[in-house]
Amino acid sequence: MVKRLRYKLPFLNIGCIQKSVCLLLVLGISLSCEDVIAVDLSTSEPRLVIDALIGVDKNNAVPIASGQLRLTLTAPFFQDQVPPAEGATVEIIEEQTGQVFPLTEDEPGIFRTGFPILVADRDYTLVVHYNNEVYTATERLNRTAFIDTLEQKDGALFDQDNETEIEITFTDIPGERNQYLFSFGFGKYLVIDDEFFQDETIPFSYFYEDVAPGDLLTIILFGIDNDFATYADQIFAQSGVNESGPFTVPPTTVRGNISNTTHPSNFAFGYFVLSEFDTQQITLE
Amino acid sequence: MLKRSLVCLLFLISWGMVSQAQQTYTLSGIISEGSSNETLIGATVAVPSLKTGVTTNAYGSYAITLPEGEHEIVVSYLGFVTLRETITLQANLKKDFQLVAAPETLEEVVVTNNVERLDLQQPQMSVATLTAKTIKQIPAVLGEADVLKSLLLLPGVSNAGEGSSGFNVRGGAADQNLILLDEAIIFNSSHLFGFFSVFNPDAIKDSKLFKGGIPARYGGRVSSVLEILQKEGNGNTFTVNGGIGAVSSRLLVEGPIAKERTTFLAAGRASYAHLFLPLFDIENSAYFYDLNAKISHKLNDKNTLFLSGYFGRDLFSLSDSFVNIYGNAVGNFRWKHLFSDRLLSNLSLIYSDYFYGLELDFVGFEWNSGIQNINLKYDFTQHIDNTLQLNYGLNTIYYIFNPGEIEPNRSDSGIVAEQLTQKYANESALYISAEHTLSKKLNVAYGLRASLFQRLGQDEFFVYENNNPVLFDPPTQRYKEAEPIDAIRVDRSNTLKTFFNLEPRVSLSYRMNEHSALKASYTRLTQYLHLLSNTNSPTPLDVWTPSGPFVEPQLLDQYAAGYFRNLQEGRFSLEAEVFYKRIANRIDYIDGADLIANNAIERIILNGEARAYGIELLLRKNKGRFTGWLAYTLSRSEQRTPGRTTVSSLGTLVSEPGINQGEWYNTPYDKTHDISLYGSYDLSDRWMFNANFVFQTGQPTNFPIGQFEFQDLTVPFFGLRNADRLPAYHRLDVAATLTPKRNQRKKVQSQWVFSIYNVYNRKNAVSITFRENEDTGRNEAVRTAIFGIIPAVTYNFTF
Repeated sequence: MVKRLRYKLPFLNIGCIQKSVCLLLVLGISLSCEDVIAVDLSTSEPRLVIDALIGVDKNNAVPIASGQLRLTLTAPFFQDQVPPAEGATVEIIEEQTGQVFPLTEDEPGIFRTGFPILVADRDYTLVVHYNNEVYTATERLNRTAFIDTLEQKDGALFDQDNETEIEITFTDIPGERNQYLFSFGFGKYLVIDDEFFQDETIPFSYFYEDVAPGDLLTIILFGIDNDFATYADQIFAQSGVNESGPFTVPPTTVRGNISNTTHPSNFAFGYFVLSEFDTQQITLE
Repeated sequence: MLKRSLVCLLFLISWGMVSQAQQTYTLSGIISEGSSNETLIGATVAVPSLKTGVTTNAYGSYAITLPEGEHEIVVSYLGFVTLRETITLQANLKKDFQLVAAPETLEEVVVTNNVERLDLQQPQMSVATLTAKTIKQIPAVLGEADVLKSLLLLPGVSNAGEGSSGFNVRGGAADQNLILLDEAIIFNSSHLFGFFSVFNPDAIKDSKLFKGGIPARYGGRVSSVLEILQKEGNGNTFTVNGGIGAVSSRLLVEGPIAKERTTFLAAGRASYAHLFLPLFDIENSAYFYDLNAKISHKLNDKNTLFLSGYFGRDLFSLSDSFVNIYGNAVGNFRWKHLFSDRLLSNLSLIYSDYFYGLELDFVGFEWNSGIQNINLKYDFTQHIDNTLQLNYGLNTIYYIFNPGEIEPNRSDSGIVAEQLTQKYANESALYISAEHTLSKKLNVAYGLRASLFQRLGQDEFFVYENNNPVLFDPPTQRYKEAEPIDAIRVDRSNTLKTFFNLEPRVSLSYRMNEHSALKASYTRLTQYLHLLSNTNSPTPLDVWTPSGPFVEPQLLDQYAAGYFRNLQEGRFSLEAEVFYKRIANRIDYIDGADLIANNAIERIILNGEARAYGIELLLRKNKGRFTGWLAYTLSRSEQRTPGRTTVSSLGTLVSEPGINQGEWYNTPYDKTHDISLYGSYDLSDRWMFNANFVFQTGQPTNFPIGQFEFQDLTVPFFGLRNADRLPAYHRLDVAATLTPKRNQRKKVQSQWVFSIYNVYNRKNAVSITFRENEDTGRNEAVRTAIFGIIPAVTYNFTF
């Protein structure tokens, strides 16, 4: 009922303006808009990070959960790797039956096995015991729509030579408000809200950079809820996936849906989300 | 407090009325420039024998009360030959004066009065005036003379750096400035996303920025008032002037339609169409243009009509798949009427419209938003006697806010047309103020403004449980948007909420001696409209929202005091001011607030407060070949949003942390040190040199205190808000103006302006972003700098 346009990220956002900034300089002298500089940063105590996007392929007859749960710790910003959080006990509780599904740590901090078969309209609680503290989050499986078609076109937004246009057509889940997450590969994502195309079939274009004929592109469509849509939007904005410039959003610390029931102030980063997804591939010509 | 100030006001006014017992008459009229008939603002009419004098107001009129008999009148204005005339007063007399420009030989320029110079007599303080002439001399990016950028060289005024629109006055936000162009409200003052301002310097007569001590005739914004007046047009001869610059070309035509009765002015400015072309190998365009026009018609001695307008647009498109158009359109019809020599009135009907449109063909939609308003204003200036002048009037503004309308742009689009809820409001005000000379040494200006704001009904108004649109979730310690429990329709003839505020204003000046004065002021202002902007500087697509059931008006109390001194017979002047201000109801946004196309912004804002204080110093050199100023501001600007105590769904009390744990934090406009140095040197008839240097403490920002990974993404996280700063901003600009000897046979007078912006090529950061390098996978800090060294040439001409 409440309205929001999530097209903002790639489209309304002024990524293009930043490029436009350079333009003016062409008149005078050229110079680079951006350069890498050294900055001294202060650091904080490490916190737990729970990265748990658990998917269910909508095309499968049995809703088998795929994906993984990854536990890491925060690290100083310029450190190359974030360390895994090892030795945690992780379980998922199906609230209707009370059944407990313990997960197995297959690699340090990574849990891939032991997920329950996810049933719609049921509450699932994630419980993580780490360093004598308990972290929890409760979610339901979000439904998704199907991708109808992928089609290669020859448009471009900024750069005819290095951009490849893919037109994606999908049909909104009828009769309700929905949010979707598209994953385009290469660490590129897009959050979409159906406010302005409820129950419709909508084509839109995504512009890949630096891909070549013969490349196989995989596009995944996840069904998500409004809370995770907001979270994902912020994650994309703060991670710098989108162009910055004078109109950047102010830096904020992005908090997810996980609570520390032992010491609420020692919160964990990350999000626990359960999503149906559909995936399609296209080979570039 | 308010009641007392009202009583005090009435008392002072009545006292002024009584004190005019002797036999006196009023001398009044208009002072204009001889060659063009353009009225002069701030020209002096003095009576040396009586040691009294007045200056002309914004309409070029003056009125002075003198005893019966013979008086020598001296009329003067900077750059004009001083006029002396003896008149005999036996009744009220109306007399207009025309001044002739002083010959351009430098040695003979008699600096008699400078509008930019210090006025010790008037209680008005915290004002910055820049003439069009100064604005054109200040070196600017790509040689484009710019009103707003020039203001940044004055104390107490700064902005978020290059490529940011708007400006910040005394630590205030950009939306807290009331920008008036011929009385019409301008909602977006920038072209090309902030690189240039929308005001064509050729068409401007005068610009004045009130930072404090704001007179009662202005209201509606809490930080400042920038009043820009357009020229009326040359009443005597037809003239054309223009310029060709690196970014745009300008042309202005003015002249009489009926000599000395009807004049017109038309000015246009347009940038070159494909500014962005070299960057992309696809079809694109980016340009702006604006048009200014004004017609004035003198019906008779007592009545003059004015019609003025402005229309400006920015257009930006990329291969037709992305088209963005935005701009202002304003029109003003004004009737100036003299009821008597002592009572002047102006009745104005003003229309203003801000439009923002976007077409995204690759998604298949068009997006339009904007704000329209109609303003009816009636202002009076009454000259009681030489010690008392009254200003009073009323105005009412009707607003229509269109936060956005989306529609499919082609038949195969999946977009469904939708209109976000339009909002409506009425803002009315009644004011009276007096400029009162209590003694030779003490002058007071005091007044009161009563403002009324009515938020009118709308199609869809959301209702929330416990009337609380922002919820706090204790387990995850996050603020969340509440789901509305109902949406009701309220007819536009009903009001959703009404606000009434009394805004007293007082300023006084005490003249210590010939050379120095002390001034002090108190200002209360109310702001009913808020610009929703979650970025460091406004963007064209930010939406204005009116106060209403969930958004309180901002209330300002500002105190300022200053010491003013002329040194070496006015060769130098020194101004020192301190200010303290506090703003109640400054809104702040919850983390991750998404403002774009949000139909229920009440769900993402929290109510807070702001404060700012500082000291400003301005040392000017007013005379001689070398003129200029040094401005220094030391200030602090902060805000805080304390946590509320709310009732949770379980019925328990929850105390919320607020924003930034409820602590004070620096606003993005907090600049501890702000230094500007401007100098102008007249070498000869042909050459003139200008330079300016600016230094500002870096803008507050946040640097990450760590990173975490989510999916494949590296996400930085931060500590307390705005605890870090960008590197200091500084740069030096220089310009040289060549005025070739005028060829006697040709009528054209030409001028070349050579400028270099950012001479030592400082890479001033507008932002530092922290992200993962796509190629190396390592995290890095990336500085974005906009303008390096930029030389430019501009050619100006007049004939």
